[in-house]
Amino acid sequence: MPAALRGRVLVQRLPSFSVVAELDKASGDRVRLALPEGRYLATVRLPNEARRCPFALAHGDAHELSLVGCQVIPLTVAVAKGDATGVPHANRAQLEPESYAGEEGFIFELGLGRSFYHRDDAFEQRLSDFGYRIEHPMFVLDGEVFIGRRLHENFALGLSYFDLDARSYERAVDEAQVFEFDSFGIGGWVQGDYGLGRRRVLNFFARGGIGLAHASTEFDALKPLGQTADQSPLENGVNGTYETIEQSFTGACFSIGGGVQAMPFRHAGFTLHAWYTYAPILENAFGQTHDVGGLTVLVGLRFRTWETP
Amino acid sequence: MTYRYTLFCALCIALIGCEPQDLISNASVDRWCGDHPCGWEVDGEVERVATWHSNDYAVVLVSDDARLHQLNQGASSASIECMAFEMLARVEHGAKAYLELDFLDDGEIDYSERLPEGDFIPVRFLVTMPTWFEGVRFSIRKDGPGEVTLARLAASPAYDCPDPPLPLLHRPSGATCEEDEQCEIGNCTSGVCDECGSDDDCDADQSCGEVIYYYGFLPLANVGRACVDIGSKRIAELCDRGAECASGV
Repeated sequence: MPAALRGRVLVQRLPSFSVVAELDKASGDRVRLALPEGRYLATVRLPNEARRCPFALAHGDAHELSLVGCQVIPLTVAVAKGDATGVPHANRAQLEPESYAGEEGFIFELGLGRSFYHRDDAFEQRLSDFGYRIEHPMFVLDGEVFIGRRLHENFALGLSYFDLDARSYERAVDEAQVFEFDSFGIGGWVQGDYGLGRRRVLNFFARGGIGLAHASTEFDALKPLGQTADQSPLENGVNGTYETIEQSFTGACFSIGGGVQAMPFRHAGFTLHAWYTYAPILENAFGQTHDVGGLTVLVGLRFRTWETP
Repeated sequence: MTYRYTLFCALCIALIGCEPQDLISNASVDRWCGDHPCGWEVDGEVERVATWHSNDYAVVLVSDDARLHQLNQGASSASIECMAFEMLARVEHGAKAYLELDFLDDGEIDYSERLPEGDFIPVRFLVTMPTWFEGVRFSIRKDGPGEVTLARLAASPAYDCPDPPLPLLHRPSGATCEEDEQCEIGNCTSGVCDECGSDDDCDADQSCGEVIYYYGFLPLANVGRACVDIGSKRIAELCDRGAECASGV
């Protein structure tokens, strides 16, 4: 800032309009600010007007703020009801940006949605060959819990728990014989995003994740009977001869997705998120696998902390 | 309300009655009794083996002449004209295995179909039953080396068999027939196999006369020929010759 400049100076980072510096510049001395590379907007409030000066900084670059060519913003006196400060209302956001300054910190999301899982793969075909028919539930919602931390204006990291495929199959023999499985994933995410508006009111994001998927199965297996059991009409075909066999499978899963987050409130908002997960972890004794992943679309609530510099 | 309840119950009973009737018990051969699948008889050597799940079982026919068989004495032509078979087996390339049917359980194979090679590929086919039979033995027989594993053999009555009925010879007296050669004695009279063709086929104190064959509890009957004691029939009973009657007339 040149020595002659005098006024209140607000420097905001674009496109987020996050405030990086605010100072009252007195004339007489040059003031130097160290800023990372990027695009900025400097708003200088003079006694009768304000000037808005966009500029860009490259790595190692230096820029001297000049009011020449800057957009002039007239200051009109419009005192809000109950506002005794007398501060002109126009461009108040730029001049008194405390409520918009800063960046989001920790992120917490809760989502519910619908998933579209794989059908008719070799695993399921084999079950069908052996007489098992899928039992369609009336309606199932899948959920996700996400915890993250913003590390950069366009970059965040997170961990999430999310539901994966769950199904039940039934075969009618002497009595209904059931095979069912349930699965979920836990993974780390990298989020790249682009925020629009003050306080990142709209945030478009893409995520990629890697983690572990876990599936547990239950199978109603017929208990082996004694050598002469089938010679006794009472014992042969007797009900209640199943035992539940539990198995579990764990393996890597990979996800990719994206969506938009709307944050109308400082600490709360909404998220619309779709992602695809690849998790071929469920395996039968023939070595055929089932991908418990698929496409998930969900809406949810989003909460965040807001951290000011 | 009572009328609706009665109608609902009648509908339920009708639906239950329409369920396919399993003619083979333990069709999935996954219930085991010791060293053999429950309900099945075993010739030769067989072993229990896991299939898609380590606790879902099938039976592998180990020895070259292994045979797995099961008799259904209640199956008969009175209720079954057509039979649907559903089979799931692993038959190694070059291995020979057969589904065989022995009607009347007399040791004579009346139907034999080679199992297609494949790795647990479901197969369904229809077999038209003989016009008369009582009881059938279902068999899966291996003939020679190679892996043959049976995971399911189910049979149920069906109604859409396109083929003509299987021939079944050596039918006993009283069995329905269409041709003489179907009958053990060689005589088919009025659609029923006779017990005798002449007095020579009977004991000395018997005569080859007319008798009525009833079909169980059904109000159906057929007239055939059988050995009857000489002079054993009373007035108004069916007869062919005077020797059968007590009155001699």
